Amino acid sequence: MNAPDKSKNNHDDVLDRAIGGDEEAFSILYQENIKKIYSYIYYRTGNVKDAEDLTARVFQRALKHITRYKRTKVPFSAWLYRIAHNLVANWHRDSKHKRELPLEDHAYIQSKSVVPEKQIEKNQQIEHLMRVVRKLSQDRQQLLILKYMDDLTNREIGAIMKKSEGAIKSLYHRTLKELRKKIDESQFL
Amino acid sequence: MKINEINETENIENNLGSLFNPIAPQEGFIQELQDRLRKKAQVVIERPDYLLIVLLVLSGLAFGIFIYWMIKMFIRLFGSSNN
Repeated sequence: MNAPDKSKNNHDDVLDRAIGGDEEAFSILYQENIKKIYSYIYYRTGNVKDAEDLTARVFQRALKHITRYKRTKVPFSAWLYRIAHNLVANWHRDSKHKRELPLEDHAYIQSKSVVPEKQIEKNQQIEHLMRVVRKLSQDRQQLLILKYMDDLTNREIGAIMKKSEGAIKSLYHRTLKELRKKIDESQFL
Repeated sequence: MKINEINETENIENNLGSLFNPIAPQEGFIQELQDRLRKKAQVVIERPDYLLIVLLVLSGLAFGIFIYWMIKMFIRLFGSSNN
């Protein structure tokens, strides 16, 4: 048996044990996924406090319902993203939380310490892009976060967003088109 | 699609890759949440002490019967002395 197979079997074993109610196995799944889920929620809410609160609720809910988890072809993280998606959707719905994410808080700004002019120009482009991305609809923002932050496939994203693989592909192209249009418009202002 | 549109799209895709970096939570959050999740699993539901409740009800009942008996005794004593 080669290394990736062994690792997959090990992961499957951990998941099986967690489904069976093993707390230690759930801890391993928690350690594997916490940063991804936190980042996803942070990008969707735009602030640390709500990101921490909702991340805690995702894992509390996962712990409560893990025994009912049904294995599918998509990774376990897709199930956690789905829970996160529902909580974030409620968060957007039942309050006026739609605050702008302060750009200074973003991780990419860290690269500002690298001074070369090309880097500054690149950072400016990215800052501008962030402002434009923030103007997209929630599902388009979600698609971009899942695609670029966690390198998920269209199929995995489809499982999270309850859409077909084709629908995600088409949504992605429409999103890129809209981004290009909005960037062009903002350059003429 | 025109060539400059393709280049523009590629540029946007590259920038999106730089934009959405995974973000590490604040120090201590991961461990603190893990501890909270573990504690939650160890919560013990305390059942009410049924024996104490039964004893309280029985002693109340016994006290009531005693008072009733005392009143009856008084009535009988005073009733018989009047006669």
